Amino acid sequence: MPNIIVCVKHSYDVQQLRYDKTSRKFLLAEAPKKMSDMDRRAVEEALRIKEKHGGKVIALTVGNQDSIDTIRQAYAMGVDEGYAVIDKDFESYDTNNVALILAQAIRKIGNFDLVLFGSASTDGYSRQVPPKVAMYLGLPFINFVREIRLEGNYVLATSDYEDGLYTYRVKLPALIAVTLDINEPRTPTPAAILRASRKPVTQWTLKDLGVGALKKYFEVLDSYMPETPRKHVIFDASSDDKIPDAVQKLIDALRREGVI
Amino acid sequence: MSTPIFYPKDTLVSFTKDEIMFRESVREFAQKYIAPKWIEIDEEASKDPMKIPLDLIKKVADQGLLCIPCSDKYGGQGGTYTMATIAIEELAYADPAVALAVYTLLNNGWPFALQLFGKEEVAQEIIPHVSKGEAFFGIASTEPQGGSDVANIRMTAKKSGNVYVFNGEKAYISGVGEVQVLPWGGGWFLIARTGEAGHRGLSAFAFLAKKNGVIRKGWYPTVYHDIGRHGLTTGGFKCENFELEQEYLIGEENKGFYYVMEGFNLARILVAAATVGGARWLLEQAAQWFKTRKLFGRYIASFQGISFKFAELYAKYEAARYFVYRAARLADKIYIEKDPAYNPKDLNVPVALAKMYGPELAAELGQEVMKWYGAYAYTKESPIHRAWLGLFSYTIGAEGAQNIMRYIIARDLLGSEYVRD
Ligand SMILES: Cc1cc2nc3c(=O)[nH]c(=O)nc-3n(C[C@H](O)[C@H](O)[C@H](O)COP(=O)(O)OP(=O)(O)OC[C@H]3O[C@@H](n4cnc5c(N)ncnc54)[C@H](O)[C@@H]3O)c2cc1C
Repeated sequence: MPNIIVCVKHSYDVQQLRYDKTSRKFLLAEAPKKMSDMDRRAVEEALRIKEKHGGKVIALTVGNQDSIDTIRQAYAMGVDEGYAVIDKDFESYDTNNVALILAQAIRKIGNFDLVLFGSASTDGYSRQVPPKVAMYLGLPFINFVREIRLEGNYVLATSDYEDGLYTYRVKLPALIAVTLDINEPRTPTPAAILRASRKPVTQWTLKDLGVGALKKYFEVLDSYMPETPRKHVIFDASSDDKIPDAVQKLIDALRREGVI
Repeated sequence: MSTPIFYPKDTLVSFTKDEIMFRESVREFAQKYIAPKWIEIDEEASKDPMKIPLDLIKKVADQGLLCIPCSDKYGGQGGTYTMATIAIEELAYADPAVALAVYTLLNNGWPFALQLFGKEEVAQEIIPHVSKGEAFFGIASTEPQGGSDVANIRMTAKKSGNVYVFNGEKAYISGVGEVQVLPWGGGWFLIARTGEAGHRGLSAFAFLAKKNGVIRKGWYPTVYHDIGRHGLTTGGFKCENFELEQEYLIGEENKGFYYVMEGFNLARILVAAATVGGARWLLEQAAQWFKTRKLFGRYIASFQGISFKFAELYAKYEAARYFVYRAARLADKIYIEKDPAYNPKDLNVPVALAKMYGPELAAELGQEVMKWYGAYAYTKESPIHRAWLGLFSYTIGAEGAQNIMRYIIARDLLGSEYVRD
C-alpha cells in the first residue's frame, strides 16, 4: 500500500495571462492562478494508483498564501492530506531554493514510497525542480513519464523522450515526473469541492523545516512577451483556376518555414 | 470556432473560491464531453425525439450535476443554489440548444422542491435515483386548455382509500420520453385538483409514472415533435383512473398551488441561467464572425448599425446575468442558509426579472446573430439556428410565459388590487 506525495504548484493560468501592449510585461497582479496542468495529472495518477493499490495520497506545495487554493483543489480531486509551505518571498526563489524546500518538506512528511511531480510547471516551465529534489533526496528519478505501473516494491515507468519510448524499472522509493499525456484528470463534483474547503491544510514556514538563509544561484532578470512579427504573405486564390497554384505555393512556403 | 468575450472585473456578481473552482470544473467537463456532441444530438433527436442522449445524462449525473442543492442525505450534493445556477449556465454554454442544460436544471429545481415540501420517505425514495441519472423528476402543470392559468387546472385526483385516482390530461410536459427510457423511471411534481374550483382546490403530488422500471397502469403518454431543444423530449399524457399511493401527496392537500409557485421560482432561476449561458455562446459566435467578415472593404462591426446593436445586446446580457445571480444568492439565503431575514416571497420579483429578461435577450440575440451571419445562418451547416430555437422555448413559455413574469413584477410592486382585472 504505497504512500504517494504529489508536489503541486499554484501557477499563473497562462491562457488567461495578459501583457501590457507597450512594455510587453505580463500583468501578473491580475492574472488568475490554478494548479499547474502537469501537476494535476500527477495528482490524478496518484489517485489512480491509490484506487488500485490502496495507500495514501498527500499533496504538497510551496508558495505564497494563495497557494493553499491549489491544495484545496487537490483535496477536491480526492487526496487524503494536504501540506503547504508558505513563504511570502516565494516568487524570488530560484529552482534550487524551491527544490531544497520541497526536499525538506518531503523528509518531514516522511514515510513515502513514491514522489510525483509534473515534469514542468505551466508558468515557469523550467523543468528543473523535480530532478533537483531527487538529487537532494538521493532518489532515483524518471522524467517525462506517460505511464506508471507498480509491481511490488518496484515501479515501471515509461518515458517519452520524443525520439522513442523508454520503460524503466526502479526500486521504491522513487521520484517520477509526468507529462500531459499520462491521463485525463478528473473534474471534481460539487460535493467534493465543498468537502475540500472544510479539510485542514497543514501549513509550515521555512523555519519549521529548518531551512535557513537561501543562497540564490541565479536570478530571472526579465520576462516579457516577445514580439512575433507576422509575414503577411498573400497567395492569390481569387478564382478557381488560381487555387491549385496557390495551394502549391502555400505548401512550399510552409515547408520553407519548417512547419510541415 | 468562437472568440471568448472578456468580462470586465466585476465586484457585484462575484464568486467564492469554491464557486470559482466549481465553475472551472463544470466548464472543463462540459467542454470536454458535451460541446463536441450537442449538434449531433440536436440533429438526431430532431428526426426522432426518442434519441435521448442517455450516455451523457449518466455522465452529467456522475459529475454530480443533478440534485446539487439537495441534501447529501438523499444522495444530493449538499451544495447551494448558486452552484446549481453556475452548473446550468456552463452546460448551456456548451450546449446552447439547451437539451442537456434543461434536463439538468429540471432535475435540480424540482427534486429540491420535493425535498422542501414532500415527505421524508418520498424524498428518500426518489431523489437518490434522480441524482444518479436513473430517474427523471420534472414539473407537470400545463394542460391543453392553457398553461398560464394554473388556478384552472382540470386534472382531478380523487382520494379513494389509500390512493388518489387521477383523471385528466397534461400537455407540453418535459421529460415524457425520459421517464419511459430511464432505468428507474420517475415522474413529476404534478398539480391536480383535489378540491374546490380555483387555486385553493389544487394539490401537488410526487407523481411517479414509472417506478422501479415499471410503467404504472392508467398512464398514456405521447411524445411531440418539437422545433428545437432536441434531445430532451416534451410530450403529453392522459390519466385514466391512474392510482397513486397517498404518501405521494406533497405537503397538505389543497395547498399545492403555493408549493408549485415556490418551485417555479426556484426552477426559473435556472431557466434564466440557461439562457445566459446560451447567450454567451451566441455573443462569442458574433465576436468570432466580426473578426473575419468584411464587406465594402471593412470589417462589418465597423458599421455602427452592427456594432451598436452588439453593444446593446451585450448590455442586456450583463443585466440578465446580474438578475440571475442576484436571484440565486437570494434563493440561498432563503432555502439553504435559512436566514430569517428573508422569506420565499422575496424571490418573486428578482426571479421574474431574471426569467423575463434572460429568455428575451437570448431570443433577440439569436435572431440578430442569425442576421449578422447572413444566408449561411439559414443553412443547416450553421449551428446558430439550433441555439436560437432551443433558447426560444423559454420565450414561448417553458416554466412560465413571459407576460406572466411581467404580471408578477407589476403585481408585487404595485399591489394585486391594482393589477388584477
Ligand atoms: C419546450 C417546452 C417545454 C415545456 N415543459 C413544460 C413542463 O415540463 N411542465 C409544464 O407544466 N409545462 C411545460 N411547458 C408548458 C409551459 O409551461 C407553457 O407553455 C406556459 O405555461 C404557457 O402556457 P401555454 O403555452 O398554454 O400558453 P397560454 O397560457 O395559453 O398563453 C398564451 C399567451 O398568452 C399570454 N398570456 C397568458 N396569460 C396572460 C395574461 N394574464 N396577461 C397577458 N398575457 C397573458 C402568454 O404570455 C402567452 O403569450 C413547456 C413548454 C415548452 C414550449
